Amino acid sequence: MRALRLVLVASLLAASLAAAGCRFGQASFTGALSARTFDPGGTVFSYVDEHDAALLADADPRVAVVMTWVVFDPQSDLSDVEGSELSDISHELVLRDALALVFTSQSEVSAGESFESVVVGGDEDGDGRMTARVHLAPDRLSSSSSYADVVPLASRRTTTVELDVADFADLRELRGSVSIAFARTDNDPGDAVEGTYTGTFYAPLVEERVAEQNLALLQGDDVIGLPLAPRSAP
Amino acid sequence: MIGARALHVALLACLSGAGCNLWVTGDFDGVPYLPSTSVLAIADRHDLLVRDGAAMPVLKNRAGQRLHLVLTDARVDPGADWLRFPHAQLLDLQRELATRDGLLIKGLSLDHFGDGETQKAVLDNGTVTGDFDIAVAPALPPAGTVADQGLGSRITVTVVPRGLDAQPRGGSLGADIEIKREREAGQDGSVATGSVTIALSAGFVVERVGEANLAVVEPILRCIAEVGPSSSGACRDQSPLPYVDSTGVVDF
Repeated sequence: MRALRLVLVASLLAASLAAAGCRFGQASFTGALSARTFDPGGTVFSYVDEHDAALLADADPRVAVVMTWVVFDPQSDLSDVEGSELSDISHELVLRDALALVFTSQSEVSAGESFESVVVGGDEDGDGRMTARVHLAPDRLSSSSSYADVVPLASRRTTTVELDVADFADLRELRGSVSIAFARTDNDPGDAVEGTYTGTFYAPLVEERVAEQNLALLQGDDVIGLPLAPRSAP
Repeated sequence: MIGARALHVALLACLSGAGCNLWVTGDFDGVPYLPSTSVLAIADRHDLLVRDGAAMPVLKNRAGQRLHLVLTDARVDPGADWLRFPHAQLLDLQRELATRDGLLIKGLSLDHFGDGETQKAVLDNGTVTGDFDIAVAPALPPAGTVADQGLGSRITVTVVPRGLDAQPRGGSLGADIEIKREREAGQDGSVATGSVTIALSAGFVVERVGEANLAVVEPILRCIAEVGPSSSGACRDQSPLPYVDSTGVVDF
């Protein structure tokens, strides 16, 4: 009887630990800029931005993919978690790697499609079918950090996405591969770091209201530009 | 009776980048002012320029190099990267900074300081003039010492250099800092006035860490200086200022 109780306690403990650290979706990247790696694989999800601020439906809505190092459950309403936990998540969102991809037209989001975002000097300069917001974690500072160690990153950032799966009905998920290339422009210093991150992602679809509510609660707009402003907004 | 009008004299070991000592004398008509537990001393010798989204460090010329000082009664580790603290710990630190005596001296000329030149700033009628910028942030004083008519709001801060050794990854400085409160035109004649003098020797915090931490403490001390000690607690939720990092502008 005692052994049974121990097994039960151990099982409950294991289940609760698994739940506490459970990641949602998946993303993994390889490559490095100088020594800087890119890991936005803690929470990965997608949602369809189907309704505007007045809750009117968009005939051809935008689709967003969110990737962040921070682990949380994007399917549950974060307004139910304690304020201190919410502020922890929001704070870490700024301090960690993240990536947001926004496809302009859901009708174009299908398996086999490719998209490209080009950001030069902080401004989007691609064909407009997809925009990307790459958020690199700020440097971790220590008593040995000096300005001599700061190496500028090349400022032309090209994000390419190829979709393997885009199913909004049955599987309710997006899968694909991503590459993020940093290349020098004529305005960059000669030692600006070039390089490419390449990776794959699996982004389950999350209900729009929950996704937008959670991103707003986390103040995601400052970090990854989400939730999206209505199309009609300037 | 000497009582509350006695001069406050304290020799205090404090926290800074590489140890420090403070010798505080004086008060404002019995109202103590002791920003004497921690010192954030920064030799600001670089700019991080953001061009086309890429950040690059540039060494300032001698005339452009600056010295920033934060003195606070809050017990903080000036050499730690505060913004990397778990959020609850950062909130604790912000609360401490908002409810303790604090002093911000920003933009002293490092060149003139090294040459031993005295520099001075005056806050009068809400405007700072002089050689550098200041925010004098008094905590709520003990009830028994609150002057009936409040604090004199014309403030003169004088910095007399006593030594400087600014290195890329450290160094130290010594200075005498006088904070003088006077009656401002239009204030009642019985406001608390007087001088507090702080004899300081402190180690510099590494510049990058110091500037990131300055982004946390500066808005809090400016807020207290503006709203006054009775509302200083509300200043704990001041957002850190954006600062430049190799990844670009970090904005909380």
